[in-house]
Amino acid sequence: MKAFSNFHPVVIFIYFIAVFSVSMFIQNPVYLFISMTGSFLFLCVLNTIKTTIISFLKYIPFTVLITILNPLFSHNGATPLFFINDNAFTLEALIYGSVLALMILCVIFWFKCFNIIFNSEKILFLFGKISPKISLIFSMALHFIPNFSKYFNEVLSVQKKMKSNSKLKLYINCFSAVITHSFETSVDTADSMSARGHSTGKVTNFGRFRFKTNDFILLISIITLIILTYIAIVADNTKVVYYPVIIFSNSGISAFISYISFAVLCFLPGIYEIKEDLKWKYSISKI
Amino acid sequence: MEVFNIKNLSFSYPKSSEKALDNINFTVEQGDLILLCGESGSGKSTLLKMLKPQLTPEGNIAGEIIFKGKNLKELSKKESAEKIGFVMQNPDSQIVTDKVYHELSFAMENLAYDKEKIRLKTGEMASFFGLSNVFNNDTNNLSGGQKQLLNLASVLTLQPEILILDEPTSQIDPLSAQNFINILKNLNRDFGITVIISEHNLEEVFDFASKVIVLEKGKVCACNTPDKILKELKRNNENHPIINALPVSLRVYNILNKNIDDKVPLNIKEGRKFLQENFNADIKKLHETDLIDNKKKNAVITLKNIYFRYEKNGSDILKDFNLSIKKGEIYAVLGANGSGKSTAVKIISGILKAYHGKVKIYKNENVMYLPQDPLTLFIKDKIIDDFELSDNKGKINETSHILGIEHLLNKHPYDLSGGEIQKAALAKLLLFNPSVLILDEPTKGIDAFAKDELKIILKNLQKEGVTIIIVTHDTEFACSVSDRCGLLFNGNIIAENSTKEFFGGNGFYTTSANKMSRGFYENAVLFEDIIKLCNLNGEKNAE
Repeated sequence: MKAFSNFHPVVIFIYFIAVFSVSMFIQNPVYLFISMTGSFLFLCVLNTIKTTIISFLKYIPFTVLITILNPLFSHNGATPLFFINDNAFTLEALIYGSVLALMILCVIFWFKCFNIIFNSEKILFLFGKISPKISLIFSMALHFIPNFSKYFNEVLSVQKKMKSNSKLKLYINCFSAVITHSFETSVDTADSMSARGHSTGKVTNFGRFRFKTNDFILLISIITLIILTYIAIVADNTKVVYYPVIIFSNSGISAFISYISFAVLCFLPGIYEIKEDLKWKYSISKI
Repeated sequence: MEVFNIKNLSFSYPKSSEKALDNINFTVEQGDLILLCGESGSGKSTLLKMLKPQLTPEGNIAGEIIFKGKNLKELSKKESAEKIGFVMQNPDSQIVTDKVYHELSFAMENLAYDKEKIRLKTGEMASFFGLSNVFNNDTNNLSGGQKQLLNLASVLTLQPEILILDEPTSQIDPLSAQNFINILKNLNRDFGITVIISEHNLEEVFDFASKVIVLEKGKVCACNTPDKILKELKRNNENHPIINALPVSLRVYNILNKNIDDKVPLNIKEGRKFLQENFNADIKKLHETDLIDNKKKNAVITLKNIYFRYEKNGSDILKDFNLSIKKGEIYAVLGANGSGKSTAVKIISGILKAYHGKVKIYKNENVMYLPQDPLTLFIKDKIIDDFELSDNKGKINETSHILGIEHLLNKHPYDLSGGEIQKAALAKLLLFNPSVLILDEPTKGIDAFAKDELKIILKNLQKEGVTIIIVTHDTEFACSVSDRCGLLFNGNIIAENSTKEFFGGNGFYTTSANKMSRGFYENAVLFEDIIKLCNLNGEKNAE
C-alpha cells in the first residue's frame, strides 16, 4: 500500500487537478521541467526505478517525433534553420515542438501515477458524492464487463469445436447467445437488488474513507501552493511567447516564488513516500 | 411464535390454466429450519418467491400469507427488504457490484444505514464468514463457494428475521456446500434465525430440519418432522420418487425395515448403528462377477507428461500429468476445487493447449466435449435450430427420441430445467457421432431423478461403444456410473483404480454409503451394495 493513496480521495483528486491544471495548460518549459521531474520521482517511488526508466526510454521516440513534426507543419518563427520544399524549418517551431512533447510526456507520467493511486474504489467514492446512482452503475459495469467477455470466450471456444460453415456467422451467433445470457442473468441480478432493498428510498454512499487531520493539512498545503503558483501566472510574469521570436518573461520575485511553490507541489508526493518509507525502515531497525 | 402462516395459497402464472401452487397450508415457527424438497418443476422456487414480496411473480394469487400477524401485502418495501432475506440459486448472477466490501455494504446503502453502522457490519460479516482475506478483492475472482457465502453474508447484514434460500448449494462443489450448510445450521442454532431452504441434496441438512415439506406438482404431499416424513410419504405412494433423494441411511432403512415405526436413522451415524444392531456381517464383501479386465483393452487417448499454466508467470495447473483412457470405458476424474480437473479435459478436447507434453488421440476417434455450463452449447433461440446446425440432420429425431427430449425441441434453451438442458446438450453432441464423450460436471444443479436418468443414458452409450470421461465432484454419481476413477491432486493423478477399489480404499473422499458401512462391510460403496450385503447376511435375531 502506497502511503500517498491513504489520503482522502477528495484531497488526492484536488492534488491531481492542481498539478494537471499547470502541466496541461501552461506552456512554460520551467514548469514542465519541474512537473516532469516530480512525476518521474513519484513514479520511481510507486514502481521501481528500473521500470520507470524503461517506460521513460520507451517514450523517447514519441517525444522526438512530436518535436520534429511541429516544425514540419508549422512554419511560423523568425529564425529559419533550413528549407524543405521552400518551407522554412524554424528554430522557434522546433522549440515549441519540444515543449509540446514535454507537456504530453508530463501528462502521461502524471496519469500513470494517478492510475496507481486512484483505484476504482476512490473513483466510485467521488462519483458517489455527486450521484450514488452513477456510482452504482459504474460499479456494476466493472463487475459485468469481465464476466461478459469471459462468457463470450467460453461460448466461442466450445462452438469452435462444432463444425461451422462461416467464421463470421459463428461470431455473430455467439455474440447474440451471450447477449441473451446477459439478459437472463440480469433478471436475477435485478431480483437480487430489489430483494436487498434497492430503490426503496434514501440511500447512503458508503466509502471506507475518513477525513483525518493529515488530510486537512495536505489540503491546506495544496491550496496554498497552487495559489502561490498561480499569482505569477495570472499576472503574466511567467509567460512565454514562442512566435515569431521567443520572449521569456521571468520578471521578478513573484515568478521565482511561483516556480518554487510548484516544485514543492510536484515533489510533495514523492518526498512523502520516501519519508514514510524511511520511517518504516527506521521503526523496523528499532525492533 | 409464528413467523409465517400460509393459508390456502394457490398461484397460477398468467396465460396458464395449470396451478403452479395448489392450496398450500403450513406454518413456520420462530427458530425453525424448514426443508422444502421436491422434483424440479414441483413449485419449490415459486413457493419461496411468494414469501418475498419483491420477488413475487405476476399471476393469480389466492389465499393469504401472514407474516408475524400481518398480511404480507401490508408490509412496506423497506420492512420486507430488511426482515426477509433471500438467497438464490446461482452464485454469479446475484452479485451486483465489483468489490467484496461493496457487495457487503450494498444492502445497507440501499436502506440508508449510517456510515458507522455499515463499517461495523461489513467488518463483522467478513470476519464471521471468513471473507476477511478477500475483503478488498474483485467479486469476479472469487470461487463459486465464496461467491455464495458472500451472497448470504450480504443478505445477513440487514439482520433479517427469516432467511429464505432457493437451492443455494446446487451450483457449488460439495465441500463448499457442506461449509455453507454448516454456517446455516450455526446461524439457526446459535443466532436463532428462522430458515426456509429448498435443496436437491438432502444428505447434509435433513436430520437438522425441524420440519420437512415435500412438494409434488404444486401441492404439499407430505409435511412432517424428519423422522416421520418417510412414513407419511409411503402412506400416499409406496414408491414416491422423492424417496430416492433422501439420505442414504433413510433409503437403506426404507428397503430393509418392514416395521416402519422404529427409530428412524436420519444421518450416517445413526445409519451405522442401525446396520450394526440389525444385521449380521459374516459375509464382508460382495463377490465381483463383472470386473472388466482393463489391461487387455486398447487405449484411445493417452496424455504424457503434460504441463499447463494459464499465465506466463503463474504456477503450473497440471504438472507431469499422465492419463490413459481405454476403449469403451467410463472414466471419472475426481478432485477438489481448483485441482485442474476441468483444465485436464479441456486439454484432451483441444480447447486448451499444453505447453509441454503430448496428447495422443488414436485414429478415427471423434472427441466431443460437454462443458460445465451446457448452455454454452446453444446459440440459437430454439433447441431444434441448434440441432439443425449439425451435419447430421437425419439423426435428430432418433437421438431426441432416445434421450426423451422430443417435447423440448421447440423450447428456448433458457426455459429448460437443469436436467433437461443437460440431456439436450448431450443430444447435440451425439449428432456429431462422437466415439469419445467428455462431460464436465454433468450433475451440477440437477436433482436425484435427473441423475438417475443421466446414469442410464450414459450406460446405454457405453454399450454402443462410446468411451466416456466424466469430470465430477459428485462422488455418488461417479461411483454409480464409472468403471475406473482417478483422483487429481496438485496437478497430477495421485490415485487411480477400479471404482469399487477406489472408493472403498479412500478414507474421506468417498460416498455416504461407504462412510456408513465402513468397518462393517468392505467396499460397499453404493446404496445397492449395502442392500445386497444385508440381504445376504440376514437379520440378527431372526427366528
